[in-house]
Amino acid sequence: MSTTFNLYDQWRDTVADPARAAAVAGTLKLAIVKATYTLDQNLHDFFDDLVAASNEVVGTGYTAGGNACASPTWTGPDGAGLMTFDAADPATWTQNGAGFSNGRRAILYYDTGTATTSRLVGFSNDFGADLGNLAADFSVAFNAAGIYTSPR
Amino acid sequence: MKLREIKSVFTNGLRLPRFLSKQKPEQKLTPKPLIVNISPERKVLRYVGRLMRLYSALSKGQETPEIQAEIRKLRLFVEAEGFLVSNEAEAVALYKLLEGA
Repeated sequence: MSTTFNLYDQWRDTVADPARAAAVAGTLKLAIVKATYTLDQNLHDFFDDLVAASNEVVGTGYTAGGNACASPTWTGPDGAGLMTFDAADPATWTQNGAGFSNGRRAILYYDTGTATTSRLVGFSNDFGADLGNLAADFSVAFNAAGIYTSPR
Repeated sequence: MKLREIKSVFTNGLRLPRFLSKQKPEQKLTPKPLIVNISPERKVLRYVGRLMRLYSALSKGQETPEIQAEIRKLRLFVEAEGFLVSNEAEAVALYKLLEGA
């Protein structure tokens, strides 16, 4: 199933400023949230805006904060001037009878260990249904073309 | 700022005075769809795409142990699916082939 991925406006604002972009720290992670998360694409900037204590999924096999996405890299420009931001896919959430079943969105962010300094990057559209690892493995993969690109 | 420049902002908005034009550079960031519960076929395409970019990163001097380890892992997966990819050119060729399949 393919789901639209979007960037937070505050992330776009950060990337546009070389000084602030260079200061982004932490581990790139993908977290799963429930339908109770009230999205604000324009204003949400840090992980504390998610109110993870009540909006992040909970269940066996899911670690609070989500799974890491290793080696984030910018590559390019290719011959056509296209640059691509990409990272390794987060590990699959293995099926568990005590797992979660109410995931509705994936949230990509840089985890610093402190919610108030962990920058939000992007979010998926609502999955359209409650999903999780309760009945089967649950995975989220980035696109074959990368997480996002910057054309000329 | 000259009165004429102010007028250009508040009358037609087409020409910005110099101090206002010093904005952040235009950026075009295009997010790509995520794949939930990816199929094996799409997984191969995804891994070859990632491999292609990691080889590209290597060729531009972004060589780290982490990237090397990820390349090894991706190559093993792709090999298990019956494809041999040992450099950027081969990865690009296979990606184009799979993308069009």
